[in-house]
This record gives sequence, structure tokens and C-alpha cells, in this order.
Amino acid sequence: MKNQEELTKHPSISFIACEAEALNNMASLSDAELKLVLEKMGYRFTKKFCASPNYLHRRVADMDVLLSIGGNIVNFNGYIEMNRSAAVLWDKLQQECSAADMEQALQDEFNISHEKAVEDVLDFLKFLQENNMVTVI
Amino acid sequence: MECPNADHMTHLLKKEPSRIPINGTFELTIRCNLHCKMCMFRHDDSENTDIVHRELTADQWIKLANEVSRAGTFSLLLTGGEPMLRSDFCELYEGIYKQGFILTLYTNATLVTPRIMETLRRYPPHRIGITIYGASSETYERVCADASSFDRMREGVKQLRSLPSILDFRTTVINDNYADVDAIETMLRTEFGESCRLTQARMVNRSVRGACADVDACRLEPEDNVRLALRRSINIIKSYVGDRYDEKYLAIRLADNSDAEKHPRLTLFGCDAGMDSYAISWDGKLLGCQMMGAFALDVLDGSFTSAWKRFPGIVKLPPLNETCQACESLGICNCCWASRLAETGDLGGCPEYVCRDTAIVRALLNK
Repeated sequence: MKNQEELTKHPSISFIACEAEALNNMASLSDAELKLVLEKMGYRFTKKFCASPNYLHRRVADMDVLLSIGGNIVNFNGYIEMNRSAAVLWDKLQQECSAADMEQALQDEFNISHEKAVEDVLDFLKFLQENNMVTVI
Repeated sequence: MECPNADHMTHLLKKEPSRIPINGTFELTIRCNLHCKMCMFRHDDSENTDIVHRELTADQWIKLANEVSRAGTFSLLLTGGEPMLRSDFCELYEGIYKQGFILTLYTNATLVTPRIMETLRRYPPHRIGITIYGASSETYERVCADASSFDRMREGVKQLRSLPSILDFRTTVINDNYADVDAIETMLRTEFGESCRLTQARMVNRSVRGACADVDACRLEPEDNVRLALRRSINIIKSYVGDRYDEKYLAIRLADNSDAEKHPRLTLFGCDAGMDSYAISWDGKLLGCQMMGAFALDVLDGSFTSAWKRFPGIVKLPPLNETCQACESLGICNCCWASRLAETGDLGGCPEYVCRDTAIVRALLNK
């Protein structure tokens, strides 16, 4: 067994065996299913995300809303309503976090399956990225 | 509480309906640099020393903004008087902005300084309502007693247009600027952009809450008031249909209100005031709206939340006068408890000026 010092000194490559059948079927998978398959294969998604400072989360009359503020109103002058799970994810994004952190937050808060959490987080991040509401780090 | 279908109510309310103060108005000052003849709110200048003394400080407004934000206020209007007249406007505005609201700022645009622009650029309001009183220095002199304010307004608007905020242009028409209405619209389009639109107060009420204007001396006769509203409405239709406009197809109809009639709601004044909207006056009084000074609670005496909770308990409305009750035009009348009070000095009074206006509208509808 190599010690930690050696591991960091020498470049190393790990081979991960993929199931050919799984790879062949990938085209038909949804984004969430693909992510789950890749995770199973050992792939780690390392991207981190952070909420755009152009939006402010306010809780108003039992509603969670994101208020467009500052110069951002030139792009969008208004507010966005969120459900509770979107609000949980948005609050999580106030600090840098990975998709896995967000999935975990949903699972902890709403007691849902990992598969469902992966799907929800992907959809949420897709929406945020399409609307320039998140920074990818 | 008032219910439009009170006759059909067969039981007492077991609990107060939900009231959330979603829409707020902060009347930052009642002072103004202009002296508009028809202003509903400005006091005589001789009172200014006392007013400055009694106005809430910037810190008090910011603290209030924090309170109302926690109480549920989402949309906040900053108005006056002229808010930019306050020497601490920038600090005050920035502090309020940071609490997070859909923010609207009302101004006459004549006091826009580089410092104010710097603040507004950093924290642009979502909407700016700019009041325009005429299309020339002469008209500004007649309406606002300040000819030079016309050029200052134009310069101010030019600067405000550089912000990402939505700009709304508003006017109040009296005898002294009646002839200017079309010229104001032309000026807006040529100087500030084709998309600029002008909205006009439908009716000018007598001044309220100790204001000094002699509105009767300058406001339009109801006939001119309706004529103007009709003419401007036709202009809007023409702008949509262009050459296809044909007056013989013009019809005046009442807007469909059946949905509201089917779902009567409980209110304090027959509107949103005190239910999901409110105003806080320059001296820290919680009001149903800026026009209604008859019922007020001091928000500094305790907290906004406590005043908001107690507010329905202080609203005592008299029975509506018999003339209004029996009037066949009650449903189309522009009157409310606040305008009855403004017009007659009596909450239950019958406002003759509004009656004349409504009678003309009724005649048009019957045509």
C-alpha cells in the first residue's frame, strides 16, 4: 500500500470498468438516470454551484419568492415564486455546494429517494443555469 | 368589517380574516419643493420647520422597513411630498432598499443630483413614477409656481432614464394644464422615447390631512374631466387600431365585474386598505391609505406589527348617507370612504363633485 505522500507525488490513473450494456443504453436515459448510472460506475461530479447575488430570497405570506435586485432588473424586473423544495435548494446555494450536497439537503428535508433528489436537483440547476441565476465553479 | 353582501350573512365571523400587509407606502416627507395648486398632501410652507422636526428619521424609516419586511410587505412605494427633498434621502433609500422589496419611487424628477443618481444606480428601484405637470416652463409656473422646475424635470428624467428601472409618467390635470395634456404626451415620446405613456389621475380630490391646497379653485369641472378621460381613452384605442378606427363602432360599456360580485370579500373600507395594503405617514402613523387620515395608529408607539393587528379595531365607519345608498349609479361611482371624507369632511357625506362626474358617465353609458 502506498502512503499518502507517495500518492500525491506521483501521477496516477485509475481504470473503471464500464458495463458495455449500460453504455449502449445511455442514449435513451434521462439526464437523471445517466447521472445515476455514471455515479454507480464511480464517476464523481465535482462541479460546485453558487446562487447569483442578483436575487434575494424573501418569505412573504407563506410564499417563498426570489426578488430580482440591483442592475439585474434590466434583465428581469420582477420576482419568482418558489415551492419549499426550491427554497431549500436556493438557501443551500448561498454557499458553494455540489449537486450531491443539494441532493442530500432534499433527502434530509423531504425524506425522498436519492433517485428523485437527483432528478429534482438536475431540473432545478438546469433552470437556474438557463436563467443565469447560478454561478458554476 | 364591511362585506358587500352583508345582508346575506347569517352568522358572525368566528375569527378575523387573514390580513397580510403585502403592499406598503412610506410617505417619507410631506414637504415638496414644488407648490402644486392641487396637491392633496403638501402643507403650507409656514409649517415646514415643525414638520421637519416631526418627520421620522432615516434610522426610524430603515427600522420600519425591516419590521414591515418581516411582517410580509413585499411591494413598497416610497413617496412624498417629494422624497428627494430629504437631505438624508440617499442613506434612507439605501437602507430601505437593502431589506428587499419590489420598490417603487415616486418623484417629480426636479431634484435629481449626481449623488442621488449614484445611489439609484447601485440600487435601482423596480419602478419610478414620475409626475409631469406640463409641457412648458409657463405651465410649470402656473401649476407648480416654479417655471425653472420644467427644465430641471427634463434633465432629471433624462438621468433617471439611464437606470434599468421601469419609468411610469403620471400627471394630474387641472384648469392650468388642461391645454397641455397632448403636448405632455408628445414631449414624452419625442424627448424620452416612443414607448413612454402618460397616465392621468381620473379625478382630483380636495386636499386631505391638513394639506393647504385650494383644489376647488383649480380643478376641472366634471364635464371637462369626463371629456378628457374619454378623449384620452379614444386616443389609446386609436393608437392600437390606427386607420381602422371608426367612431360609429365606439361603445362605452361597464367592465365585467361579475367575478368580484360572485366572490364578495371582507374589507375594512371596501378596498384593500388595511387588509393587504397600508401607508405610513411622514410622522409615523399607520393609515389605511394616504388619503384616509381619519383612522391612524402611531407605529412608533410599540411596533408596526402591533399597530397592524390593532388597526381594524379603530375603524368605525358611519352608515352611508341615504342619497348614496339609493343612488342607481353607486356601482360606477368613483367614490370611496376616503374621497367622501376629502370632499365633504364627513365619512358618510355625499360628494357633490363626484356625483356630477358620475352622472355624466351614467349618461354616456345609457347612450
